[in-house]
Amino acid sequence: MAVGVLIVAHYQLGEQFLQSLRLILPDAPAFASISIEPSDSLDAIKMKIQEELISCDVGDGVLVLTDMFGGTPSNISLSFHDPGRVEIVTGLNLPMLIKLATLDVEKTLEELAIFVKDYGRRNISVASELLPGSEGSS
Amino acid sequence: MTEREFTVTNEFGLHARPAGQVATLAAQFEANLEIASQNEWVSARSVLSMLSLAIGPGSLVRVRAEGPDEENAVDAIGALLVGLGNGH
Repeated sequence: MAVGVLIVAHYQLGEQFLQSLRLILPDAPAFASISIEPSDSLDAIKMKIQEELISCDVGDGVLVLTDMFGGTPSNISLSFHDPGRVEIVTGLNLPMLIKLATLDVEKTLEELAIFVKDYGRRNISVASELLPGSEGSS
Repeated sequence: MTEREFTVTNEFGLHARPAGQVATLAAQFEANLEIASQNEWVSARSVLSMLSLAIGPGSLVRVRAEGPDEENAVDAIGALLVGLGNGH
């Protein structure tokens, strides 16, 4: 995949996600992450993101994954939105990362962003809707 | 097509990490590999698809492969499923 992947999240959440990913898939691609700390200034956060975007772009743009729409990591990442070069998906979960790490189909940055958003949503489950004998099961 | 049945012995079943091991191993074969529990077949290259089968400890699973190295592929995946260590 020629699209770079960068996680921007509160505290060490991004690195923890990547550690979990590597536990499951030790050979997963080297995705990048940025930790946003409460003590970071706006300029410092922008600088960190700018530098990582440059370093992550291996040709076909960068997909930025943030932890939550409306949070500082998302809000500042959104200011870097650049169609075709930088796309942002909010509400990261581990299924998204696993899928990104194992995807063997070439997609454009925009296609990848939409695919990952839909995949993340599809992999949120409620036990009562899944387990036999539960009220929500059919 | 080669197809065989195996028992998952890991005390936590086929959870995320062993599913990752299966997917990584499956990607090394040319054959198309699938795994099934209770007749629901999914790709052995997809961690999340395998997790969706909710394969518990002691479960019987079927593994099938089609391709030039299908025998080796089924044997290797089967050996991994049977020999998975415990832990999560």
